[in-house]
Amino acid sequence: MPPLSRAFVKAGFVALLLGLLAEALLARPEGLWPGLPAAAIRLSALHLLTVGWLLQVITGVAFWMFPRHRDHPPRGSAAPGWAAWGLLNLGLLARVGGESWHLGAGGPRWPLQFSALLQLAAACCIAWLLWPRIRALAA
Amino acid sequence: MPPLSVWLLRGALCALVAGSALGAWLLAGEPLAGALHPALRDAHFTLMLFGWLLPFVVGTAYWMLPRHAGDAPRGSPGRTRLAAAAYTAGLAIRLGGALGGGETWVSAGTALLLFGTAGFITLFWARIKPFGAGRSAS
Repeated sequence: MPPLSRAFVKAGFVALLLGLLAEALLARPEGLWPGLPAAAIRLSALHLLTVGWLLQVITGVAFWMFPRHRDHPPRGSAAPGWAAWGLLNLGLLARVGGESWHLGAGGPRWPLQFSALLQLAAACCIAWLLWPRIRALAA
Repeated sequence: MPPLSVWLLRGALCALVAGSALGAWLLAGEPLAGALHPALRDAHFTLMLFGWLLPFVVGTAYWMLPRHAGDAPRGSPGRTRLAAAAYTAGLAIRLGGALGGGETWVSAGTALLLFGTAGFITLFWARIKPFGAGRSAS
């Protein structure tokens, strides 16, 4: 398994744990973090599970297993993948923190806007990484 | 990789970028209480679940699951075309319904998505078997 795939899959599992932890926080006792609204936790949990876990595990496994090129390097350049990994995880952190701050304490919107930009850029990098590997195999 | 998988996977990547762009707009630009928010959120959900995730999984499964012996290694081409056509039409109709067509179109699109997905599942069902099983029979 190439290093980029390992990084995506491991980050995906961390996001899965954080997403489940956020889900568990929904059932917290009333006195615990009363300023943290359920809407912020629910949105964060949903995106940790779908973007953080599913998207990263799928990307990591696809980079590892999709048809390889005959010429060197066989999996193509990993640079867009590393960019996607950094942008996506930074974007997720900004989203989880920004959402809680914005909905819980009336914080500004700029962390969410920053997060939106990072995650959109990450999606474009993932498409750039995988697109050339999606092709019919030569007979 | 068979042409259907190439088509499904590339379409899924396009939906990922489009769905992310819509999600980014919802997160950064569209007010939570805005009139367009529910429609855009439904379109974002449709693109990310039925446009990106499901076709990516189906396209990969169609390519990688154990194949049958004989002329149709991945199952009946006619049923495959029917499932793919129903799924694509369902996605387009559901997306149009979410973006303003109304509940009827969302329901009709979802019904077609269900029909297409069920078609793919019936094709995959027989291919979920040990590698090599059924190959020596003919």
